[in-house]
Amino acid sequence: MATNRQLLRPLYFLQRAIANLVHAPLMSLVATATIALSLFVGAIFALSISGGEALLNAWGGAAHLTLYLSPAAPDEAARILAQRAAFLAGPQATVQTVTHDAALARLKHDLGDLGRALDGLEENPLSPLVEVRLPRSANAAEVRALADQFARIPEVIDVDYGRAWLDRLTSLLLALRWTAILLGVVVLAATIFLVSNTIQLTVFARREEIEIMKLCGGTDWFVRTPFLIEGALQGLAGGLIALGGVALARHLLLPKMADALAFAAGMDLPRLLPSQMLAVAGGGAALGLLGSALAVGRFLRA
Amino acid sequence: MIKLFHVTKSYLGDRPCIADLSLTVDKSEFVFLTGPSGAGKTTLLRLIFAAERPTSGQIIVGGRNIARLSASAIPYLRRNIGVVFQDFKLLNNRSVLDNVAFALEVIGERVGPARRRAREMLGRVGLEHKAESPPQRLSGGEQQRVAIARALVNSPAIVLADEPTGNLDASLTADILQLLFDSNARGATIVVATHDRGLLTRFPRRAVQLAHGKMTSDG
Ligand SMILES: Nc1ncnc2c1ncn2[C@@H]1O[C@H](COP(=O)(O)OP(=O)(O)OP(=O)(O)O)[C@@H](O)[C@H]1O
Ligand SMILES: [Mg+2]
Repeated sequence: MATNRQLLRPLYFLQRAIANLVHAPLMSLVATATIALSLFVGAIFALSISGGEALLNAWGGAAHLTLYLSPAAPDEAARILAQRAAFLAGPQATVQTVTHDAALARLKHDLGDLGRALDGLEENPLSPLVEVRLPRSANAAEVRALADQFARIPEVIDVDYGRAWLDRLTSLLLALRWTAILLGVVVLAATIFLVSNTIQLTVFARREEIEIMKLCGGTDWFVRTPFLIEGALQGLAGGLIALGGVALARHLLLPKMADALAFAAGMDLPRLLPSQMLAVAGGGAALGLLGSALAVGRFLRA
Repeated sequence: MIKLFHVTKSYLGDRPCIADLSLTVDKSEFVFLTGPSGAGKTTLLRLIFAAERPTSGQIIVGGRNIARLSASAIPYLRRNIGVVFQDFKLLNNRSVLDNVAFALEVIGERVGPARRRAREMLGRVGLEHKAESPPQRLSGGEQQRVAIARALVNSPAIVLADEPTGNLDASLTADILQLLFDSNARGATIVVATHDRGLLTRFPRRAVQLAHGKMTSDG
């Protein structure tokens, strides 16, 4: 009997919560809309940052590392190093060996007419080198990590990968991320505040019912549970609406933006991963739950 | 069953509405609580079901010291106490039946059995034909009977009734009191607050009289 009751309890509270939502649709809509809006803004912001990241990476083009050997190193050492570099950089990277002669030929070609001055050289002053071209998908952090690995190889006397540029890009993105997190926290706090105040109004509207529950021997949890479920349902609805909004925005807005940024052609539009969608929906439910817990808690303590 | 030791209840700045009151109500006793308006009858009942805390003194209900009861234990105390409120406290957005069944749902009874017992109880107060109406469409006397049905539906060990016959004619008054007497005969301890001294002559029972929060007679 007792266990039977407990098993049926969740259903009972769910029914009560849904009935309450249906009875006071306006307040539910306000809470839902608040959560939907803040999650929508948050998701769009997150997508913009990841889009910006992708854009900046695409802008930078394929990353390109040059490994220099000592000028005295034989061409054979460069070939061995190239094999090693190819192994480290992975199958998608293209690796090219530039021998002493090839390096000199390049220099002559670059110098054009002036290049004839080099004919008098008795000995080739240039280092052989290995060029590693990474796929577009490689991000700044990966490039840097790889460069560090190359630098640890004894034959390599220097690694050139546009370090300053990559470092600046990385720190810019990091700053953007922190700004986003900070803003996110502010928006989150504001949302919880607004939602709990809205739900407080519904709690207040049902104060007679709550009073009677308590006078008839209902526990605080009995009073609280339907409100918590209502809050979670409102938040879940808000999360789903936000996801719908994000999908709509992607379809309507982003193609135009991508057209405007012609240099980003071929870049993938940022999209929410399934796990992120789940996070938005679950985050909505959590926001609603928290807002409602705060509102009822405040009321029960008074 | 109910014991008060030197209980005083005062609200800020006012003179106490219960002043140094000591009172014992035994198990299965039936007591009228009388006194003029403002004597402190409602306040005394509210102290007993822990809706108010005494300013000083001790109150023991069903063996539990109310002053020491934690907030989370109060609901469990109240499950043994059926209260008929002077202002009924019925919910107008629920049917009469749901109002009565609600008292059972709140303490964990399933909806089906709760409604069954509520309907049975409405039959006992003669209102089964109004089960689906909202309380506000009922007359004052009918609402009073719904309030009594809700207080008794749980078969509580203690019943506190605040002016339960205030809105009833003589024959309904007798019917309602009979419900309380029946409940008393089955072992419940009953306290009925009323300013209607006529009840005492028609239904002689122990009567505790209050005036300005003090007991003026008992017997
Ligand atoms: N919450 C409160 N704050 C201040 N004073 C109160 C409060 N509740 C009751 N009182 C005062 O306590 C006194 C007793 O009130 P109570 O309601 O107990 O009287 P009563 O005997 O039930 O009267 P009635 O027969 O009119 O119902 C009154 O003077 C009232 O003004
Ligand atoms: Mg009163």
